[in-house]
This record gives sequence, structure tokens and C-alpha cells, in this order.
Amino acid sequence: MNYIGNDILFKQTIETTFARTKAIMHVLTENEIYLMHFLDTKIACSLAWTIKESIYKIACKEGHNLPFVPKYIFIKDINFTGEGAYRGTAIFKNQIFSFQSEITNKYIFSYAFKQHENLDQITHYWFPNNPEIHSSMKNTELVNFLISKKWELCYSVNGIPQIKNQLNQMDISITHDHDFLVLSKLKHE
Amino acid sequence: MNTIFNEVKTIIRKYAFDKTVVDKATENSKIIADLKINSARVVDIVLDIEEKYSIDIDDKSLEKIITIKDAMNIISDKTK
Repeated sequence: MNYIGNDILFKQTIETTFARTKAIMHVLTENEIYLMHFLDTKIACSLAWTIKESIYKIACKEGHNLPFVPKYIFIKDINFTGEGAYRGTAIFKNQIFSFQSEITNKYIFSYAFKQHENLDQITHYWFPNNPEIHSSMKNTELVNFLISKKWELCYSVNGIPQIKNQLNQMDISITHDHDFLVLSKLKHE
Repeated sequence: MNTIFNEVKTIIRKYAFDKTVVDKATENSKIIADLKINSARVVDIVLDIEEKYSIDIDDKSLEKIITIKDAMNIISDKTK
């Protein structure tokens, strides 16, 4: 199965957590600081976090079971593709991942995939989120959407969300922070 | 160690959605999986621990922190 990873940070998190002076030391390597020098520090830090967390989610689905250490994932290149969008590649455990990111004035969102040619084949469903409800399955909008699609959300033994349909199971990635919840999946599945 | 346990719990509690879960936490509680801490908030927890105990948590130490006890052990090692 081709796994997807995604991650979102809401502006409040960007302005608090990732604005802390020492946050950058835990998230970005020296090379990445240089690579993203054109961005404000907390934006670069937040962007890198979402990219790396997306990749970490894929690695976990493939069996990686150690805690997330952002500086063990290396952003190799990142290119501005217009209208707040960025695309690039990163390396983790000798494997190359492609990512796509979006920076807006409300959030930073990234998703990652191994097959670069399929990066544009990933679709995203956005839902309002109540930050006080930690479980995705208690998000009414998400649940109603899943029911309308006749998708059954299930979790593997190690907590990986997947959608059951009649033929097979589709990999998805779910992320939420403050006001937003995003579900990402491959379009053709 | 009991003091460190309570201090770490206090730090974690600041960033938890459900503070009652943290109140019931044991040393073996997993910070993200059991205490339902959003992964981005782990950055805040790590920074708060560094500030409180005047230590630096390097990447090798970060990789070892799954439970509250793991965090406590790192603090103890670095404050000897």
C-alpha cells in the first residue's frame, strides 16, 4: 500500500509554540535554516514541522516505532511553486519522500508521499474542528461525511487510520489543530 | 523522583486537552498515546523542561522519551 502522511498547524500554534526561541533548535538542521532563510523563523520552523511530521506518519505506518525526532528527517530541497505553495523532497532512513505544502495566514498544511508522480493525485477533505474534542471520531462533520461516502473508518492495531470499502482498505491520513481537521487520501482509491 | 514526576506532570498538564487524564497519569503513561497530547505540544513540553531544569535535551535523548518516566530519567541524567 502507498501510504500518505499529512499535518496541519493553525496560526495560534505557529504564533506560540513555534515562535519560542529554542523551538528552531529542535526542528531545523543548520542546512535547513539556510535552505529556508527566505522565510520568517517561526514560519520556517512550522513549515518544517508539518513536512517532517507528515513523513514521520508514513514511516510509522511502515513500522517505524520510535518517537518523532524532527532533525532526523532532512529536507533536501524546497521550491516555491506560487500562491503560498511549496514542493520538495526530504530524506528519512535513507528513503526519499516528496512533499507539498501550503502556507496561508490561518494555517500551514503539508502532506507527503513516496511516489512523487502521484503527489498531485492526493485529495484533501477539510472539516471544522473543535479543539476540545480530541478524537476524530467525535467530529460530527467528519462522521457525517464518512457516512455519506459509505466509508468505514477503522484503526489498525498500531493506531493507523484506514478506510474500509467493499474491495480493500484505503490508506488515509488525518490531522487536526485548533479550527481545522483534514483527511487526505489518494483520489483513485 | 516523586518531585520530578509531579513537576513533569504539571508541565504536561498545561498542554493537555483533557487534564483529568494527566491527573491520573502514572510514570508509565505514554505522553502522546495515553495522555492524548498533540504532537506539536511536545515541543512546548520539551522546551518547558529545558527551561525549568536548565538542561538541553539533544536528539538522542528526545528519541528515548515515550513515557513520563523516560522524561524523568533524562532530567535526572542531565541534572547530576
